Amino acid sequence: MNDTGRWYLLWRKTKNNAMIAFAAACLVIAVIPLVLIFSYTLLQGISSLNLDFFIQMPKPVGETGGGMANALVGTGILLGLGALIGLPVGIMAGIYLAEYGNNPLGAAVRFLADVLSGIPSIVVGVVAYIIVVLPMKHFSALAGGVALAILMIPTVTRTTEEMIRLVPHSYREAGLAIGIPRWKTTLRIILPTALKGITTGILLAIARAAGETAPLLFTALGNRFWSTAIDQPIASLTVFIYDYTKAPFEDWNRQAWAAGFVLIALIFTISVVFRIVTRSRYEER
Amino acid sequence: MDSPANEHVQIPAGGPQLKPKMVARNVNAFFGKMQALRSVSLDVPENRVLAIIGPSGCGKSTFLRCLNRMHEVAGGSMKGKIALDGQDIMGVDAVNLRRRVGMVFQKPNPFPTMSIFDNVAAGLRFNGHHNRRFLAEVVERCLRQAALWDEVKDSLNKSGMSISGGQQQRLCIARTLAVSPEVVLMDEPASALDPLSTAKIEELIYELKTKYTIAIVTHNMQQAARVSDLTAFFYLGELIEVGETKRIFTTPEKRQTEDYITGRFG
Amino acid sequence: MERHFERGLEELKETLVRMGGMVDVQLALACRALFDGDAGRAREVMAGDREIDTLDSLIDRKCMDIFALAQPVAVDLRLLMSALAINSQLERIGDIAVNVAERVEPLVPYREFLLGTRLAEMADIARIMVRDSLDSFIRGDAELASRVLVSDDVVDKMDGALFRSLVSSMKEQHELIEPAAHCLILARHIERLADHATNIAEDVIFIVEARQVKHNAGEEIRR
Repeated sequence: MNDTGRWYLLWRKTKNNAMIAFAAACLVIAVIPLVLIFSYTLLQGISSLNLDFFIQMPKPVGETGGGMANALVGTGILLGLGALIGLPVGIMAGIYLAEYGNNPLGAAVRFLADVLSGIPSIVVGVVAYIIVVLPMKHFSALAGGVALAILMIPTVTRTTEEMIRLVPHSYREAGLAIGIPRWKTTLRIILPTALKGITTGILLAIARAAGETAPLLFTALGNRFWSTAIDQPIASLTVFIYDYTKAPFEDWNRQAWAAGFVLIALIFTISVVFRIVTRSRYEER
Repeated sequence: MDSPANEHVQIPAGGPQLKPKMVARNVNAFFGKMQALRSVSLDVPENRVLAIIGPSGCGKSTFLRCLNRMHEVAGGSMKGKIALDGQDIMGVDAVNLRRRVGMVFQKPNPFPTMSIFDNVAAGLRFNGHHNRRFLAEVVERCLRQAALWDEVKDSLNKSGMSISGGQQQRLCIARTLAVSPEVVLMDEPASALDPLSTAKIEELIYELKTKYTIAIVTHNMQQAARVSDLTAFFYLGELIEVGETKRIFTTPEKRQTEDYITGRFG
Repeated sequence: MERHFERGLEELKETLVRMGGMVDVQLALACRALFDGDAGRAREVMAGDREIDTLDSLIDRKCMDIFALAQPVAVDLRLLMSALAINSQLERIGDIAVNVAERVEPLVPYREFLLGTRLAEMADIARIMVRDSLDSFIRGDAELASRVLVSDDVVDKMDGALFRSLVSSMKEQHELIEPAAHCLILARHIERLADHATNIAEDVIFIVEARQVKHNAGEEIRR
């Protein structure tokens, strides 16, 4: 190689390395907010993080200490209700759109789902208020679940549809060709194949719902006492954080930080656990 | 070599004393406005291998898919009559038809989330058979018939995707055989495989014809010559010639057939 | 891995072997008839040729089918090409047996003269050559085939000597011209027999060693 060639090579290598460095820097920048949030909330709330925090009920005003046991359980129940209502609806809708949705009705449903995902969560809360709280004549965990379900549905639907469309048509054909009815092929062959991707959608939906506060204010309301009844108001982490941050008590503020950290950690854990559990039992060679 | 033009004469299986398992008469197939098959009449004789050859786009895959109504899955429609054992296939439930007329595809497609065992058992399991011993018997029998048993008998629980391409295709064949079809349709079953796997599949087809009726679409003429008893030549959606493979490859009747077989096409 | 068309090749070989056996028997019968003066046996030989012709057509058709359906290469291809050639040689040997049988009746009155020539010896050598060439085909024995090639020279020499002897007989005794003429023609037939056996042996060497020893190429073996 002559001198000019050598110079060009050097120039290309430098450009290459510069781009790699730039990309790495962007990665760091992208990860920084997550790291910051984690560490800041941890720092602020660490003093309140102890076993009592997770086990005990909130103490009456004025007393220090106490915990958010009811809020933890409440969030769990609300997410559970929301998933119970929202996931089947979303998955089924996604399946319909993917398998049978190449028609005007399908296009309309798709459009509406997109609209639904853009509605502010507080409006969703009002809707749930109207359709659940008013007829029941009181706030309840069920209403909260419904609100969260409505929030979950668009994400789950769209992701399910995308993931099912991604499954190669050859598996559908193979199933039909051995005499398996269409619906069974979809449910027992296509759906499991798309499961990993659909789980991502489910995760996203649950994560979003776990962090919602506004809709819960009109539906589940919140509860300072222990309650797991579906037809009664119920506490939740987000409302807990909202209440305790507003309060003038420093101890309560610290507890709010701690709760914030717990919420983030919870969502993080949900993601990890889901990925492990739904990892295909059979790894490809 | 040239025959007088007689397109309106029906050309069935090209051989006396061959009992037809499936009969197609005046089949016209459409995908929307596009006509893929024109007035095709062809018999699929029992316990024989019928090879369907022709250039790309000649309608051979379409015809094959009409035989088990898979063309409907791709949005196609058909006019004319196809009968299985004398019974019109449009008059029976498509799902039942496909249990009797199975299909193996070009690209091996074992179900990715299932083990080898589950793959073979899928057709039976999803139709209500759950007896463990029965399933195990069927799985072993079909894997043996597909000449795959010895290679996978110790790893039936491994993923269906963990074996080589040639083995996957034999797995797909075993899966098709598990529902006890009478006819096995194969759409270019070996075109995605290496020569040794192709040879194994060809020998397999030769063995299978004693128990099943086989129709295979192939773009490899030498494969058609090696493996089939009868050969049908399609061109631009029409059946040009059909007859005993021996005769077609030594003294074909139609000029078009000879041009295609000798590679002088176009 | 065994391919199903290998059976076709095996069957083809068997049919060729069967034809060779029939030809061998025809030759033996014809020579026996000739030197025994047995006209009845000669007629048997002439009738028996029909079966050989039938096998000839059958083998040709089988070869064509295998070419078309199995696309043989390498040893299979050489076997097939040589099978066609050997088939043709065998059919001609069969014809020679008939030709010999045709000379039986006219030579019946001249049996002594006939037995005085070395024709019987030549015929024996030629028949052994034919048998050996067929054996070498059955066993794939190129060694044996090479020995057949060597014998051809012997037969050629005997043929030359016989020619000179017969010609001098004809010059000396004019009444011997008729039988001597028949014997000359018989010598020609027997020499042809040896040639056909040689051709078969050359084909066997081609199949087994992928070496073409025909025509000039075979010189190195005979030296």
